[in-house]
Amino acid sequence: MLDSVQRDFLQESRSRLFGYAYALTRDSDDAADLCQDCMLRAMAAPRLPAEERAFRAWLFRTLRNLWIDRMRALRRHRALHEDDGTATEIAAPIPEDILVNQLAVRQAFLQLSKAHRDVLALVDIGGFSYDETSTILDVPRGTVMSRVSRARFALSKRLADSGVTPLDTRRRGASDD
Amino acid sequence: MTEPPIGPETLNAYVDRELPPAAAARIARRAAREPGLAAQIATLQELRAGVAAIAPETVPLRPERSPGRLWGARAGLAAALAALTITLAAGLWQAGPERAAPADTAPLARLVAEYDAWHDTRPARALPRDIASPRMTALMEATGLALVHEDRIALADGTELRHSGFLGERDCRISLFEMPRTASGFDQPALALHGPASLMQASWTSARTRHILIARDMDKVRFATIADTLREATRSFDGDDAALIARLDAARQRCVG
Repeated sequence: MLDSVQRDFLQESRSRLFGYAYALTRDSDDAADLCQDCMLRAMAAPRLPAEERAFRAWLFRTLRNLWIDRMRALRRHRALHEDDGTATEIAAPIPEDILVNQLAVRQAFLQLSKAHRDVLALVDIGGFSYDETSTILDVPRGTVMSRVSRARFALSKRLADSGVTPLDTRRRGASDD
Repeated sequence: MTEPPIGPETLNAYVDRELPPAAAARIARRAAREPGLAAQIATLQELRAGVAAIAPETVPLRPERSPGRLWGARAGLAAALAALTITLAAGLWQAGPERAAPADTAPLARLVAEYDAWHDTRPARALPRDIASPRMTALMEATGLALVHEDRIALADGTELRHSGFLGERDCRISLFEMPRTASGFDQPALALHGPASLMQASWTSARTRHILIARDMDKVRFATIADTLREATRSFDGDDAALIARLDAARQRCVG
C-alpha cells in the first residue's frame, strides 16, 4: 500500500505519466485508461521504490509494460516491431530553417514511429535522463542516444515536409539557455 | 582551421544536458562563434520543449455513450446467462472498452485506503437490511456477500460518500462507494474496469449517483459480473431481478486472498 510520500510522488507524476501514455497511445481515452491501470498497479504493489526518481521510473516502466500487454492482447505486437523505425532512419543534422510551433510539433510527433514516440516521451515529457531511459526501455545508453537523435531528426523532417516556414530573423540564433 | 562538425547524437546529448561539463563547454563556445550551430541547438531545444508540451494539460471529459453498446440483452436461462456473462466479463476486462477519465489519485487512493482499513478490521455480523438498499443487499447476497459494514466518508473537497462493505466466504470483501453524481465532474454511464486481480476497481454512474466498487484478490470474472450486474440494477428496474440474481449466483468463485 502507498504511504503518504509515495502518494505525493504519484500525484506529482500524474500529468507527465498521462503525457507519456498519450504519446504511446495517441488517444486521450486510451491514455487515461492506461494511467488508471498504472496507478492501481502502484496501489496494489507490495513494494515500491522509496526514492522519488526510482519510483517515477517504476511508474513509467509499469505503464509501458501495460501498454505492451495491451498491444499484444490486441494482436498488434507485430505492428509494434514493424513500425519500429529505428533501423531505417538515418540521423542527420537538424535543418536550421524550420519553424517550431507547438501544434505542428504535436501533429508531427503523433506521426512518428512507436519507438521514436516512446524514447522522446520518456526524455522530453517524463524528464528522464538517458541512463534512466535506458533502464526503462531495457536497452543500452548508446541506443537511447541514437534513438533520441533519430527521433528528433524524424520529427524535424516531418515538420519540414509539412511546409513549415523558416524561422523569422528575430528568433534565429536565439537560445533558451 | 575548420573544426569537424559535431555529430547529431552529441548535439542532442548537449541539448539534453547529458554531456560531461567539459564537452558541453566546448560546444557552447563553438555555438557562440557559429550561428548555424547555434540555430541547430535552438531548434533542438524548441523541439524538446514542443514535445514536452504535447500532452493535454487536462483530461477531456468523457462523452455520453450508449450503455447498451456492450451488454447484451438478458438471457432467460441461468446457464446460458452464466456463460454469456463470464465470456462478456472476461472480454471486457481484457479489452477495457469503456474507459474512465483517470480518477484523481488522491480520492482513489483514499477509497483504497478506506477499503483496506475496513478489510483489516474484524469481520462484523451482517447488518440489518434496512440500513442499505434492500435490493442491493439482496443482489449481493445472491453472490454470497453479506452487508457487514456501513459508514460515511468525507473527501477533501467536501464530497460525502457512503461506503458499504460486503463480506463473503474465505474473507472475500468488496466495497461499494456511492457519491452524488454531480460531484464526480463527469458522466460515465458505462462500466469501467481497472486493475490487476490484487486490486480491482469498477465505476459507473446512474441517474443521481456515481458508484465505485473496490476489491482485492477476487476472481476477475466474478468481480466484473458483480460490477456489471449492480450497474444494470442501478440504472433500471423492471420489477424482476431474477435474471440478475441468476447471473450473480453463477459467477460465484472463491477469493484467492
